[in-house]
Amino acid sequence: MPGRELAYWQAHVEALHQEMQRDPTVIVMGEDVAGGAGRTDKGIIDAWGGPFGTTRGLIKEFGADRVRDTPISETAFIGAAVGAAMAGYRPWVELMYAHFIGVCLDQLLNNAARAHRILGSEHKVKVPIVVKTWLHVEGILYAIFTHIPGLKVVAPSSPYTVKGLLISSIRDDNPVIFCDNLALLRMKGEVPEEPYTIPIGKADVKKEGKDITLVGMSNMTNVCMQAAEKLEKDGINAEVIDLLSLSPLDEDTILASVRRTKHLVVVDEDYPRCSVAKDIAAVVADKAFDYLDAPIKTVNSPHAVPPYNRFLEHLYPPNPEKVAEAARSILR
Amino acid sequence: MAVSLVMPMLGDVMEKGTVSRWFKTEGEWVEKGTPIFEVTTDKITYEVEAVDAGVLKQVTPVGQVVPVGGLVGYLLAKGEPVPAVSTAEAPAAVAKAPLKEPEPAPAHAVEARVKASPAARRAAVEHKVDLSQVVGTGPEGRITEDDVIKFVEASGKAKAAPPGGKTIALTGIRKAVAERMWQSLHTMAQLTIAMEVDMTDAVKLRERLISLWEKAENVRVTYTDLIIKAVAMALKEHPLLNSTIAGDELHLLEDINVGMAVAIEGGLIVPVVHHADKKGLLDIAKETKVLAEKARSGDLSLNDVSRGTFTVTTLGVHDVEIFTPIVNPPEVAVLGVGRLVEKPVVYKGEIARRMMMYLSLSFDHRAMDGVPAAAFLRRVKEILERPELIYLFEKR
Repeated sequence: MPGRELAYWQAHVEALHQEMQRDPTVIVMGEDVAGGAGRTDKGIIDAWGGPFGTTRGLIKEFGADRVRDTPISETAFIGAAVGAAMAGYRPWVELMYAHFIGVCLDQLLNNAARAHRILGSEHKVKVPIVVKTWLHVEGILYAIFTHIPGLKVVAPSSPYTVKGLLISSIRDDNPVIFCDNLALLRMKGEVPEEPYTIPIGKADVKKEGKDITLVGMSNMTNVCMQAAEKLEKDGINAEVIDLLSLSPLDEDTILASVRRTKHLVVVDEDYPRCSVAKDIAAVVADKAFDYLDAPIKTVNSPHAVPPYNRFLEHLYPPNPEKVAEAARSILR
Repeated sequence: MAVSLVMPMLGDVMEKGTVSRWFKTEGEWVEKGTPIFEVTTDKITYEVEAVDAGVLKQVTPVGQVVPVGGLVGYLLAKGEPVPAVSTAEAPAAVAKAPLKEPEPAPAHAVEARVKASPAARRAAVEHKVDLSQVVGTGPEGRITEDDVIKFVEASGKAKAAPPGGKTIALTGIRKAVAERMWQSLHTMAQLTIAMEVDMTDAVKLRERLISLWEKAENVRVTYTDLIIKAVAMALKEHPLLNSTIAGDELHLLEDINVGMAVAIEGGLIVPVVHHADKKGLLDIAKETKVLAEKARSGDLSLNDVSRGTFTVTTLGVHDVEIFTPIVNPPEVAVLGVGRLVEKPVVYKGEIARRMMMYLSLSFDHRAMDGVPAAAFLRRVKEILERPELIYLFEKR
C-alpha cells in the first residue's frame, strides 16, 4: 500500500509540530514565522507561517511564547537564539536567506560554533540550536557553513528527508545549519506520519549503479537522478548518492562507491571555488586515488555573481544535461 | 659539452623504438658521422650516426624500448663527467631523418609516459602487467582498469593453453606486425566487401607488355603492378579512400602513395610506390621490382616504407580467393588480391572460359559508408576489365 504523500513544506511543518509537542524546550524564532499572529490584542490568531508556510499553524497550538516573530536584525535574533540554546532551550531559528549570513556570521562562527571551547567542558555547555535557511540562486553558500568547524550542516532533498533530518537536527546537541532549498518547496513524496530521524553525517545511496558515481546534495540529488536517467539511455549505469549531511561528511559511503565505479562527478549548486564539490573531489583524489579510472569532474554554478535576468538565472545552476555531459566526458 | 643521444623520430606515427645494437662500445671514441647505434621500429631498422665526436656513454642497453626523444646515451668530451639526468640539456636531434624536416622531438619523458588511470596503474602492479603493452579504451586513449583486467584475462588464456608444443617469442618484426594489426582492429570499424573481376583482357595485356619490356627494359610486369596502377587511378577519382582519420577530422590526402605488402622472413613489410597516380605502368613495374628485392634483402630505406596512403596485399599466389585484409593504420582502406583462375562464366550470352579474380576491399567504416567504397572497388574492377583505360589516361 502506498504511503501518505505530502509536499516538502507540509512535511517540514509536521516535523516542527511533532518536535514542539514532544519537547517543550523547542522554540521557533525568526522573521515572519508567526506572520504577526499571536497578537490576540489585535485579534490575529493564526497567519501564513513565514514566507513559505513552513511554520503555519504553530502559533495557534503553541502560543506566542514559543513561536516568536523577531525584528529584522539577524545579528540580534540569531545571537539571542544562541543564548537561548546555551540556557537550555532548543531553538529553531530562521535565517531567512543564506546570503543574509553577512550580518550574523559572528554569532555563528564565534559564538555558536565555539561556545564549547571558550567555556570549557566542565560547564557541559550545549548549543542545541538549529539555524534554518532558505537557499536559492541568489546564494547557496554551503561552502561558508561547511568550512566552519563546530557547525553541522544538513541539506534535505525531499519531503521524506526534510522531516527526518529536521527532527534529528532539533534533537542534536550541537549547532546545526539546516539548508532548505526553495526549489523543493512544492515537491511531493511519501512521508510517514509518525516522527522518525535520519542520522546526521550519513549519506544515502539513492540509486545503485556500476559505471559512475554521481554525488548530489539538496535539489542537486534530484538533478543527479534525472542525469542518471539520461545516462541510462546511453547505456551508462550511474550510482547516485544523496549527501544529506555536508558536515560531517560521510566519506565512507562516497569512497566505497567510487572504489566500485572508478568514476566520480560531484554536483553542487554553490560557486565552484572552495566548494563542497571540490572538497569531495580532493578527499577522493587523496583516499581513492588508486581506484580512479578518470579525472574527477565537478559541476557547480559558474564562479560569477548570480545573474538578475531570469533567462540567465535559469542557465546558471547545474542541470541534468550538464551533469550527464560531465559524466560522458570521463566515460568517453 | 655533453651531447645527448636520443631516440629519433623516424616517421609520422613512430612513438617508440628499440635500441637493437650498439656499434661502439662503452667509453669508445666516436668520430662525427659514424654509426653509433641501431634503432628497430615496427617499420624499419635504422642506423643513427653521430652528429658530433665524443666518448660514448651508453645509457640504454640493447633490446630496450625507448620513446621518441628518450635518452639513449651521451657523447662526452674527454674526461667529462656524465651529466646528471636532471641537468641534461634538451636532447639534440642526433639522427638526420632523411624523409622530412626534423620535427621537434618531445623533450620530456612525461609526454612519452603511457596514459593510464590510477586504477589501471594499481591493477598493472597487482597483475605485473607492462602498461605499454595494453591498448587504452578510455577518453584520450587512457588505459582503464578494465583494459588491464581484459589484457590479463587474454594473456591468462594464452598461458592456460595446454603445455607441450613449441613456444615462439613474438619479437622484432613479428611483434611489430602483431601490435599493429591488433591495434588496427581495435581502433577502426573495419569491414570487407568483395567483387569478382574478369581479368582476361588484363592477362593478355600483361603478356603483351612482358614481350615488349622483358628484354628491352629488363622488367616483367606483374599483376600487382597493374592493380597498383588501377588503384592509383581509382583513388584519384575516389579521394575518400585515400584519407586518414585524426581525432574528429578526416583528412583527404593529396599524394597517392600505394604500398604493397611483401612477405619477408618472420613478418610482413609494406614498401610504398610514391605518387603512383603520376607514374606510368613501366615506372611502377621497375619500382616494385626494386622494392621487392630490397624488402627481401632487408635494404629498404625509411623513405621506401613511409607515407603510404593505401595498401595492396596479395594472397592469390597461395590460392586464396577472398579474404579480409586488415587496414594498415593510419590508412583507411586496403585491397586484397585473390587468386587468378580460369573459370566457366557467362560472357556475352555464352558460357566461356575467362580468367577470373576476386578483389577484397577492407575499409574503415568511420571514414566512409559502403556505397562510396563499392564505387571505388567497381572503378578498380572496370579499369582491370578494360585495361586499355590505363593507356587512355596515361600521361606519357
